[in-house]
Amino acid sequence: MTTNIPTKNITDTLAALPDDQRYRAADRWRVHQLREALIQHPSFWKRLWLFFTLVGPGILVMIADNDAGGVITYAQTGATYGIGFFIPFLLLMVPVAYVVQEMTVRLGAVTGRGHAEMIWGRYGAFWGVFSLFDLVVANILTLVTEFIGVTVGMKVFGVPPIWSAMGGFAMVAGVLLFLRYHTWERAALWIAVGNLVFVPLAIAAHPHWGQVAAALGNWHIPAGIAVGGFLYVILANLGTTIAPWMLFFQQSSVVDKGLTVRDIRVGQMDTAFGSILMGVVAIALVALTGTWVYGTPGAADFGVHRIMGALVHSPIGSVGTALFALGLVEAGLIAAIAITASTSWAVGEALNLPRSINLPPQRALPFYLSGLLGTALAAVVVLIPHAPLGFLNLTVQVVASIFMPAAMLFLLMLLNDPEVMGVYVNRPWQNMAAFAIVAVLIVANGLYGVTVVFPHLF
Amino acid sequence: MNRFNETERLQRQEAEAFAVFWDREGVRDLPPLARAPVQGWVRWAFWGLRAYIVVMLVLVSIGFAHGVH
Repeated sequence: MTTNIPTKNITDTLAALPDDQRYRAADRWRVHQLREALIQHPSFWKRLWLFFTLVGPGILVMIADNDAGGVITYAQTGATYGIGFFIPFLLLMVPVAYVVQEMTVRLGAVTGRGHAEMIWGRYGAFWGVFSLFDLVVANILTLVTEFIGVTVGMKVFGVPPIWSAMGGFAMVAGVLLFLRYHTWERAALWIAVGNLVFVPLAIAAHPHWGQVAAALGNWHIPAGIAVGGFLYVILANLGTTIAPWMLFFQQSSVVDKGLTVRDIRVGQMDTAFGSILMGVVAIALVALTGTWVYGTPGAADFGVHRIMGALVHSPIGSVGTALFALGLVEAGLIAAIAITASTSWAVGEALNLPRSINLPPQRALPFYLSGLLGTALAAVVVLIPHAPLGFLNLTVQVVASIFMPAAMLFLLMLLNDPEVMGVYVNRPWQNMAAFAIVAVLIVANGLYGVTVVFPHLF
Repeated sequence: MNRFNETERLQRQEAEAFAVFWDREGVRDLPPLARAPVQGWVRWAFWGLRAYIVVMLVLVSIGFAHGVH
């Protein structure tokens, strides 16, 4: 019996492709089969399986956003200000993060290009170099804070910093070099699950839930506080919620995963789910320290060591504090994995290198090395005795405060470009929300700058 | 013989499905990326960005020179 239905030999077709395209096509073929199976025999479990196959970039970027620096920032925020102001503020950060990151999903799915490539291609080499330089510098400095988190957390278990820094780097390099995209993403997601440890810890600490609820209904700026210091904490929390590397990471991840416009809806759900998880963990941290560290004499100046020292005497005890330390290690590790990938992708796009986690190391050494060298440098810096880590931490915040409005502006220009986005351009409400976020960022940074120059003005 | 025919039928079905998939997704050929026309609000946005960066760099330099945060 003859037939006119076209066929294609799967093995031969895939074998003819370069490595990165072959793996990506194989992944997409699997998604296609899951979609067809769902259409023919719809079921909840098939829908769930398809969803879990397609998610990844959104959850990863949001969980990695609760990095070591973020965990420390949230813990210090709770210790300094209690529960009052910041829990509603963190709730507000959830939709803010979603609005910003959702745009990268659409941009990546529609264009099939990463963020660095789009900036370079649409706005020229000057802004391309500016963005790349800022991203690489900010990423390396941020990676220093991640390795601080890893070494501080592992020190609780008696592991010397040199071993924890080397081990952390080995893990980041290993998953990046020897796993292809799909398995790298799945491995990273499993590591990201560890970020949720702060939630049961917060529950086990029996925070004052009534106070948490009251904070929502009675939101006010704490009275009698130093404006400069308060603005600094606001900016630190804002900066740890939306960071430039997140824009580059999620868009490139969407591209490397092979997501298309058909997957935008799931990409949005992925991002929404991730931002909710991020908010829940952040609130858990503030509730934990806001209950058991806030009010302790000198708590406003506590570093993470003294915060953990105070938590030992809370209901979570030494076991819970050890889990807190493990959470800190995980936060540093997952962020290091994501940030390293974002650097590699950005450099690869800017310099037009073969750039995909699907590529074996020997085929894309410059791509992999561009990210890993920065990570190695960060791991080494942490081990230098008397390295000015506080200064480096401050510098990353300063770089981000300069770079973030620029990065957001490029994102908005691209998302409003019909030549690039076609029918997927920003809708009016998306523009209103995004421009409002940019405006707040600029004002907050400006005010912060004024308090730096004129510290006695407020 | 029946089992052989069934296997061949399934293989053919899969090949047909793959052809549909390949036609729909396949290898993505991206159009060349052209420079964006910088006009209207985009031009103002770039000038604003330049001004913002200069101001922030000055403020940050002063801040670091004073040694405060």
